[in-house]
Amino acid sequence: MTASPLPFLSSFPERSTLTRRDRIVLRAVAEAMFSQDGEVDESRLDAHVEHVDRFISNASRPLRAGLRLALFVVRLAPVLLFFRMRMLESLSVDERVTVLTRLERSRFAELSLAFIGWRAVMTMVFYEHPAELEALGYASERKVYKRHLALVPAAAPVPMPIPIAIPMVGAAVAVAVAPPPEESGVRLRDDADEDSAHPPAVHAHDRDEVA
Amino acid sequence: MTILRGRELTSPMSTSVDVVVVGSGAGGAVVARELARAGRSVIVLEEGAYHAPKEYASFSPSRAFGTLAREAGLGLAVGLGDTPIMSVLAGKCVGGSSVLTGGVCFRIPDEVLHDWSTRLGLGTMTPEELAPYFDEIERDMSVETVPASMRSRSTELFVEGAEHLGIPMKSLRRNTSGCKGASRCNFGCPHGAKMSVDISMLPDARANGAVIVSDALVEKVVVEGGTARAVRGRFMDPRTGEPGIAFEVRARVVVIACGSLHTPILLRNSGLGTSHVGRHLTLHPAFRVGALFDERVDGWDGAMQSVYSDHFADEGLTLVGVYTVPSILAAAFPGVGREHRRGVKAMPNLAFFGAMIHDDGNGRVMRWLGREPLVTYRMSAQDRHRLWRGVGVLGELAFAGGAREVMLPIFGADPITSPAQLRALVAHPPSTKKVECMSFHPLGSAKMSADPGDGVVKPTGETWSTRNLFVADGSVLPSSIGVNSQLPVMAIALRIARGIAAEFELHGRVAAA
Repeated sequence: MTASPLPFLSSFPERSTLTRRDRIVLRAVAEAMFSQDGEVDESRLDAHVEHVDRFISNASRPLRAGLRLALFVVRLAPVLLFFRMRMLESLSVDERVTVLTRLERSRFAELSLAFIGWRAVMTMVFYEHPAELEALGYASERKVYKRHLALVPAAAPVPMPIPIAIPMVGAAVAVAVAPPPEESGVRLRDDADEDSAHPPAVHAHDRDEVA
Repeated sequence: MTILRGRELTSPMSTSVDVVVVGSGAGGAVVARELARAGRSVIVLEEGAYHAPKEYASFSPSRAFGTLAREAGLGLAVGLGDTPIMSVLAGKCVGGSSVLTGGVCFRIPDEVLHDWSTRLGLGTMTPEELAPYFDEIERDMSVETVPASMRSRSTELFVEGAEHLGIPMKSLRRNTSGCKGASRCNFGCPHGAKMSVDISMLPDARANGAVIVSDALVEKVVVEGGTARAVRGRFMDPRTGEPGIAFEVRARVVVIACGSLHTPILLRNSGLGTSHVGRHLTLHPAFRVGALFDERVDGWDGAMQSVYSDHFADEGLTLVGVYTVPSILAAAFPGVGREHRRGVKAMPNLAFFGAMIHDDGNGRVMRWLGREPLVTYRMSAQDRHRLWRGVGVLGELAFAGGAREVMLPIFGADPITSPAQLRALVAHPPSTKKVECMSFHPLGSAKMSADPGDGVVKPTGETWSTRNLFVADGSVLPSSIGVNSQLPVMAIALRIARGIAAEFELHGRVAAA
């Protein structure tokens, strides 16, 4: 996979949040998160760090300071959780994964939130990449329209309101119009009754896929 | 729509109008349109930038949050005690949060209005009194029922699970026209189909003479002799995003509509804080459960939200089908490295179900280090019970719908594979601090009251402390309402605006005195 073809335009071009050290730590976290088996191109990890910096730089100064503090906690995780006098970025990728997994599951919620917050930001940015979305089969426009709805032939008559007979005192019969049934979440697929009521049960998704 | 962009102005601005409205979201836009229609000169000052709705289609989620949301969508409510930290989404753009909502429209439930009109003494807040305002807003905002054909497969599975459990589901109503089911409502509708106020209200206000100014941060309401006279602030610098060139707008009536997070800050910065300003914040804590199915779901294929259930309303819970784009959903997936990647790869087979708590409200908005407030929230014991009850119900729904695995909104928790595991967990839940929670409806931080000692504004929207100073946004709602708040905010803002228009000569005389 290569670097993102979509440059992220910050609302405030002169703002930057991460220091050089922060970027090294963030890249190390990104590698552990998304490229444990080396499946992501180096240049894309670099671009990811830049993209994340531009994204968070839209936030206020106190929030950005909080994020940097949280990143420092993540960096210190090997010391805090394993009593190893090494920073996160100096560990191998698999070791980083072990440390971050322990951090995520820490019984101290504040510690785990430092990583979970960063993971949320990084994941949101990373999976916007067109290659990732394509791999998931994501389409930004609706792909299957009126899925599972039985198609009504064009020549079919338009249904009319159903007359209901209401007995009234002193009159033979009064005719009212039944309200349309409220959509109550009735299942739209595999409904035997509905299928039997509309024998040619052609499903929309059989023909309406417009990738 | 023509917008005066504050970031492009190079010299200080000073002007006088009949009405200045601070904030261009659901509340401010309604007030601006109404008073402009009534023939008043109106200026709307919005801190955020303006982006034409046609631009939204080109925004990635991170770009949309970075551009349209406060704190780039990373805003938080700090949990106190056994309370989760909660993400709080609010808009910062022309159109405010209405640009970022799912468009779901509810009226205020009758039982809530009954509580307001009886226990809280707000006698005019009845369903009958508010009905004409709701009718009008619903018509203007194109509120319509989401057709079954717009449901995603994720929602269908949600409905199927509910059917098995005998839980009735209903179709939601949303303010849309021509929705194409892209599941991207939270990032500005890419098709201009969501009738956010930048599409539905502000162009009308503009056509009636209102001037809308973006990138204009109001820092203070000027009060002289107990009467609001003007607002002062600075335009945002386009390069740094920091306030720069100053402006002052003098007005006979000042309307604050900055939303529940910033209205209290502006009041306090203006020396107008009473003990109630910034307190009583409610958040409608929301959470979701992921469900892994054997079949392909592609839950993004359809309307973001299309069904709900009020079956548990008496227990303080509303269930809502929900989905969004993969990158946002993946942000909450557990695990690191291979494990996390494996979860993301399974996303086409995942459905998501959501729920929202009708909370007791124990939040607070305070001034802090910068311009953004510090928001704290302490969840009541009853709300914690509601939360775990909701997690249990959603999990049961998922299994009843045929889910193979269920991902609970608990940080670091492994997926569960049976209802028995779910029941055991809900019976002995972990710390609520570990729950992934969100809020989309901050309300009540400058609440309406029948008595000056009980709140911040009168039932007319005018502040108890200052003449000719009104508040018209979600902060005036006196309690949690348990349903999505956009429509209620707009209906109440319309009522406040009509009151201002009817009494405008009186306000003018007060201003001249």
